[in-house]
Amino acid sequence: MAATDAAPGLRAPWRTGGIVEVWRQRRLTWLIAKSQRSRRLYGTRLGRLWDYINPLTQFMVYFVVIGILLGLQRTVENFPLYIFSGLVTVQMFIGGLNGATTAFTKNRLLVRRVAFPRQMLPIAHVVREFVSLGPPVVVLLIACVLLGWSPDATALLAAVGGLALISLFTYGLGLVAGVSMVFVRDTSQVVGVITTLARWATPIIYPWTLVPDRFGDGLITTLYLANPVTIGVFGMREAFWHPTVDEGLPPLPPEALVLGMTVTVVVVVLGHLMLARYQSAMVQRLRWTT
Amino acid sequence: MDNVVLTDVHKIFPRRYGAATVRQQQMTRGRASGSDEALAGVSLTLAPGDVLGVVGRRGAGRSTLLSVVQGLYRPDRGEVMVRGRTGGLVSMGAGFAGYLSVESAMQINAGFLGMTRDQLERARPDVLEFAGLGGAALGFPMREIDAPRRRRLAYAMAVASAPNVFLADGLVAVGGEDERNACLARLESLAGDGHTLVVATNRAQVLRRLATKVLVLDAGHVSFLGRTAAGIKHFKKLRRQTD
Repeated sequence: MAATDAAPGLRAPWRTGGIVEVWRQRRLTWLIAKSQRSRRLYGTRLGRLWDYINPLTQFMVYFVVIGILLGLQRTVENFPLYIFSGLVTVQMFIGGLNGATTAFTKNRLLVRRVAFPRQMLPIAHVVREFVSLGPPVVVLLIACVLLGWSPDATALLAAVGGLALISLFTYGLGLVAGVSMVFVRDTSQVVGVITTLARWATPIIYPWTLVPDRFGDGLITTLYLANPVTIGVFGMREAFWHPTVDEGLPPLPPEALVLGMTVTVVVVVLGHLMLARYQSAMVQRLRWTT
Repeated sequence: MDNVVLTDVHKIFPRRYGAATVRQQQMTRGRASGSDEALAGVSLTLAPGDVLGVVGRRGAGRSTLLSVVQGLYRPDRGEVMVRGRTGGLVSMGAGFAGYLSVESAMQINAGFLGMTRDQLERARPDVLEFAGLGGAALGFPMREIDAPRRRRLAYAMAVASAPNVFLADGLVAVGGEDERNACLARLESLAGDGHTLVVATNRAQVLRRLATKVLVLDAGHVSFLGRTAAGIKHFKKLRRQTD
C-alpha cells in the first residue's frame, strides 16, 4: 500500500494494533479466557471438581502403570512428585495448543464480523490453561510440603521461567496452527501427533538422563533438551521435586536453554508473520466456507 | 477533518481461498465477466455527521466495502483511512454465547465493541430497558433469554458503543414498528453527534430517512455517488436495465 501523509488521527483500519493492543485490552482477553472455562464446565454437576479429577486420574494411570507395574518408582526418588510436576506442565502445553489450534475456526463468527487483534484468541487459550494449572499446583504444593519441601528463590524462579517459556511457545505454535487450520484442516491431525509426541518426548515418566545414556551427547540429545516443553518441565521439577530429594538429576545444560529460547522466539515470530500475511484471507475463507 | 477516506480502493478475492463454494459463485454472479475484483477503484470521503447509504445488487461489493472500512480486509490496492473506532451493527452480538450469563455476555460484547467499563456502566440502564430486560436478568444464562430480546440487547449494545465510524450491513433496526422508529431515531442522533455512518441497504425508505449521500456500486465499481434522491433513482434505473 502506498505511503501516505495521513491527517492526525487517521489510521489504516486493518492495522489492529497486534500484541500491544492485546495488552491494552487485557481485560477482554481475560474475559474470553474465563468464558472458555465456563463453556467447558457449563451444565456439569461436579463443576470445578473436574479441574482436580482429570489431572489426578492421569497421574494415577501413569503412577500405577509406569511406577508400580514397570517398577520405575524404585529408580527415581519421590516418583509420584516427579511424575505429577511433569504431567501438569505438559498438560498445560497440550491444552493450550489444542485450544489455540481451533481458536479461529471455532470463533468464525467473531473473526468474520469483528476487527480485533486476532492474537487475542490463542492468548486467551494459553491464559485459560495457565489458570487451570492452579488446582493441580495446589495439590502439588500440599504433597511437596508433606515430603519436606524446602525451596529457595532460584528454584521458584526456575518454575516461573519454565512456565513462561512454555506459555510463549504454546502461543507461538498455537498461532501457527490456528492460522493453518483455517486453510488446511489436516492441521488438527498434525497437532494430534504433536501432542502425542509431547507426552513421550518430554521426561514426564522417565529420568531425562536415559536419553543421553542411550543416544550419547549428539544431535538427538541436544534436540530433545532444546524442546521448550522439556525446559518447562525442568523448571517445574527444579522448584517442586528437586528440593524434596537427597540426590536429584543433573541440571539442564545451559546451551539447551539458549537453544530452547531461540526455538520459542522463532516460532512466535513465525506465527506473527503468518497472521500478518493471512489475516484478510482468513476472514474471506471463514466467510465462504460456512 | 474527514472520518473516512478511501482512495482508489481495490479488493480482489483470489479464487484459491474457497474458489469452488456455492457462496462465492453467488457472490460473483453479478460481476462483469465473473471477475474476482469485489471493489474496483472506490474513492470517497466522509465527514463527521455524514450518513452514506451503500446501494447495489447482490455481489456488487457492498459488504466488502464495509469490511474494508471496518478493517477486516486489507485492500489490495489503494488506501483506506479512518479516524477513531469502527464498528457498530456489523459486530452486533459479538461474543454472545448461551452458556454465559447476561452480565458476562454484555461485558465481553462491550469489549469487542470497544466500550470501556465506564461506558458500559453508563449505557447499561438504557440497553436493558430497550432489550426489555430487568436488572434481575443479568444473572440468567443467555440461552434462557428469548431470541427477540437477545436481538434487541445486541442491537442496543452495538448502538451504545457509538464508534466514530458506525457501520450497518443490511440490518438497521429491530423489533416492531415503534421500536424500528426508535432504532432509526438512535442512528439519526448518532449522526447528529458527529459520528459518521455507513449503511448498506437497498431500502429506499431507510435511505430517505437516514442517508445524506448515496453510493451505488455495480460489480465493484462506483456507479453513482451523490445526493440521496438522485442515488435512489439511479439505482432503480440500473436495476431496470439489468433485470
